Amino acid sequence: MEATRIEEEEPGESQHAKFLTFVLGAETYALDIRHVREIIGMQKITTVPDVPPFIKGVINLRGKVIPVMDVRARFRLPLRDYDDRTCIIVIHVREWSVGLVVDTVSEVLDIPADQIEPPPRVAGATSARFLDGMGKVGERVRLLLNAEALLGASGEVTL
Amino acid sequence: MDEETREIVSSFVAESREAIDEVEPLLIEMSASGEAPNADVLAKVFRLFHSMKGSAGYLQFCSIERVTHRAETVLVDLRTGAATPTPALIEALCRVLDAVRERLAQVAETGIDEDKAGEFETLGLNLGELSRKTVASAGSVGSSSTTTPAAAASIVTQPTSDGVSLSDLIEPFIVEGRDLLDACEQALLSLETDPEASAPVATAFRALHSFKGNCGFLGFGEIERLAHAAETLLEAVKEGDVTRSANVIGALLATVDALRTAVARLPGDSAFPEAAIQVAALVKVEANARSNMAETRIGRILIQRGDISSDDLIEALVVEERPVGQVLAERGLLSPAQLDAALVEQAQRRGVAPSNETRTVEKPQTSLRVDVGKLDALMDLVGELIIAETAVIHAPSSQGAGDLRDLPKAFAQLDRITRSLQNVAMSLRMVPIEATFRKMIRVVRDVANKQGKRVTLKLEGEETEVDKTVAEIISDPLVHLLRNAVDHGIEMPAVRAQRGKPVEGTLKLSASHVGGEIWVRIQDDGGGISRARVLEKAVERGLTSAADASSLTDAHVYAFIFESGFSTAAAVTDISGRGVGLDVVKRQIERVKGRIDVSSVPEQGTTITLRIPLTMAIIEGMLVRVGDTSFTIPLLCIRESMVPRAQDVTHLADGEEIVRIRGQLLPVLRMHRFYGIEPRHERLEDGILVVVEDGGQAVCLFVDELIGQRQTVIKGLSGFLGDPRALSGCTVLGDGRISLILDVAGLINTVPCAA
Repeated sequence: MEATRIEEEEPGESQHAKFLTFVLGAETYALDIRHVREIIGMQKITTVPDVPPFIKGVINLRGKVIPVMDVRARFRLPLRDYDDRTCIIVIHVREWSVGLVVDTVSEVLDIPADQIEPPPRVAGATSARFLDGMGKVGERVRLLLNAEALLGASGEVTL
Repeated sequence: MDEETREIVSSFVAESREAIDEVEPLLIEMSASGEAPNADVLAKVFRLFHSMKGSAGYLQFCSIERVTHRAETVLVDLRTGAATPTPALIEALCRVLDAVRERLAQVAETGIDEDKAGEFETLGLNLGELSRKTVASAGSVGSSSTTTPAAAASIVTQPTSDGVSLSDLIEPFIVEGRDLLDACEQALLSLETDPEASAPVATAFRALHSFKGNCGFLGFGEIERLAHAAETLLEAVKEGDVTRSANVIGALLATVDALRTAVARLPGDSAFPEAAIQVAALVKVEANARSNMAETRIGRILIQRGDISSDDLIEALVVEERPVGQVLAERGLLSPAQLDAALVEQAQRRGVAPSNETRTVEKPQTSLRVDVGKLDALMDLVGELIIAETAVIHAPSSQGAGDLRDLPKAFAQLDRITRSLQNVAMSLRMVPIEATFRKMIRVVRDVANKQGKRVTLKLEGEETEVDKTVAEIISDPLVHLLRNAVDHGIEMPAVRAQRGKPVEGTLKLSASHVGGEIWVRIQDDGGGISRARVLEKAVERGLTSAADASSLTDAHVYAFIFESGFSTAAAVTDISGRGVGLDVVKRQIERVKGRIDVSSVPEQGTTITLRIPLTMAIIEGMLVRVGDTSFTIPLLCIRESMVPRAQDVTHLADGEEIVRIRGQLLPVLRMHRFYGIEPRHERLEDGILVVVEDGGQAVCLFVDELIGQRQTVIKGLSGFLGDPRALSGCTVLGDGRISLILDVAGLINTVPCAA
């Protein structure tokens, strides 16, 4: 009985402030931890025809086949070779599980709501439309990603 | 509607729909057979109506409750022989079902059962009228005419007329009764852990109500009385008239136990003398609980605490239906602190923590009934698997000692078990096609009646098991095909007589396993399809040319009727003939990777066979490679594969390549170009051509190499990927890599000149 109660409380407000941060080039991005299922090392990716270039293909995650997106390609950042620090963050948004290829994963952070500011309205910033806001952690700033926007509005993976 | 009510209503709607689906074919069989109805069937129909009524009553869907109550009365009359199942009466019952079905859709959406137009009232009255009429005529048959003793006898001896006596009904009652009591108990137990939840109360009430109904029908008065008393108490619980204390729930649980004891004595002994004692105990518990509830009314607590006077309370009570405490607080008679303190005390007296707001939400039904035998087989195989695994791990050769001869044997054993496991696991998803077939009885009857045709529907192979998804998906196509068969196939009685056929047409719906497929066959003994008329229409619509027409095979010609917008019916009726439907049928069947075969003999009838693969989960596939990508081609689609000779290849001006294979010219589809992959080989002679076919069309797929044949477990591609061309899914290979499964039909459609 106790255990179920705790589970039921989980989707509540208490977890809102937890974020997984990862590095992409010079910036550190943060992803709401509720979306994150697991973090795995680089896998052999099978390419799939007829998909946008930022979809690298599919991987076999313990028998489940899930698509993989290169977040650098999604943000139109210069691509770099995958190395042993490259990670795939498996997220689950709406009904999809999708792997995100990032340079490296750093840490899990608490960012209180009052430390979050709305995203800047800078014209021309490619990644701005994927942002939920900017989180201040000490002196530094973390870019809070909107997982739904990252995956595309309606599941149509569009550029 | 709040979330919880919505849950309860939606489960009521789902249950009722199921019940209607079950009742309908039974009713029609009743009228079709024309004989005195089987008591067993009547009891079943009665039960279904009765539980629908009970649930509707509980949820206060008054018009549904009233109309199902009328139907129930009619059924009791039928059972006792007070009414006879005339076609008109059955028709009226069917109309009630239709109306309820419609109303359910409304209820599901709004949660309100509104009988604005008084439609249900009319239906109910109509039903009563019809039932009384048959009573009158039955009476007159019985009294006035002794010349028809058969008819009279069949009415008088009805309950036992075909050897089904009350005792035959008891067995199912016992089984069902146990289930109902179990359900009730479960609900009560969950209520014990979470007293505020309302879903379990509803469940327990429904179960108990159905149980009571069954008892009443079978005449187990004492058991019925006890069940009724428990129902009353539950009603009070639901209304909030009594506390949901451990005492009340305990009494209810004790009653369930007592009822179970009573059921266990059946069929031998239906007497249940303890009932009276139990009923008395229940009544006492109820009375106590009611007074407790009064004790814990907030107003009384406040007076006892001296916070307010009784005059204040009365005044506050007059003000509508709002929490008394709130009203008092608003009037300044009570400080918030006083109210809070009183509320805490109230909660303590009721034995419930005030913050206990958690609700157990009933999950939607996602379960499947599985034959116990299948589960046993599964367990046995898992046992064998563990033994076989041990044999492999501890084989001397795998520990670096001994010879290797024992290993292949262990592997063979493992392979055998894996295959059996695969079969058993798949059989768990299989359900008999019976439910889908039985829905068709109504369809055929309605169309035939509307057209003034006489048709018997014969069902065969109802026990044939199909994948659950297949059973659901073929339902609509079957409706279309059967309507068509009655509308276009079976002739009017006069025409049939002229042709020397029995006036009553026969439709046969059968299912069987053939090879790796399920064949669902619809056979009519009607007029057949006119080849000439189909061709005429096909030429008219530009599907073929007049010159080619004569050389087409029959199968090819009949396939045209599944093209969209194709209809040869001279008259467009409201049932079929607009050419809408058959193309939908084709598309639906293709969704489950099935095919449709048509054969027809003029004036003798048409046979349509739906051929659906047994499973969509595992296929036999050929693994091929293009560049670094591996593809799987379903083996069923492959005709042959070959390395072409240079002289067999013709290059067309637009870059298309045509290969001559056994005198046939086939277009080449270069897979690497189609998907934009860097290939190993550019020259056709260096790679390999795989000839694939679908729907009579063939193309050659050019790939780098064949890797081999594999059992392929199909996995869907993530919906996130959108809809890549000509891919039906993917599969994980033995080494963990992924291979994409080609959709051959889709591939062929992209080639303009496929032959």
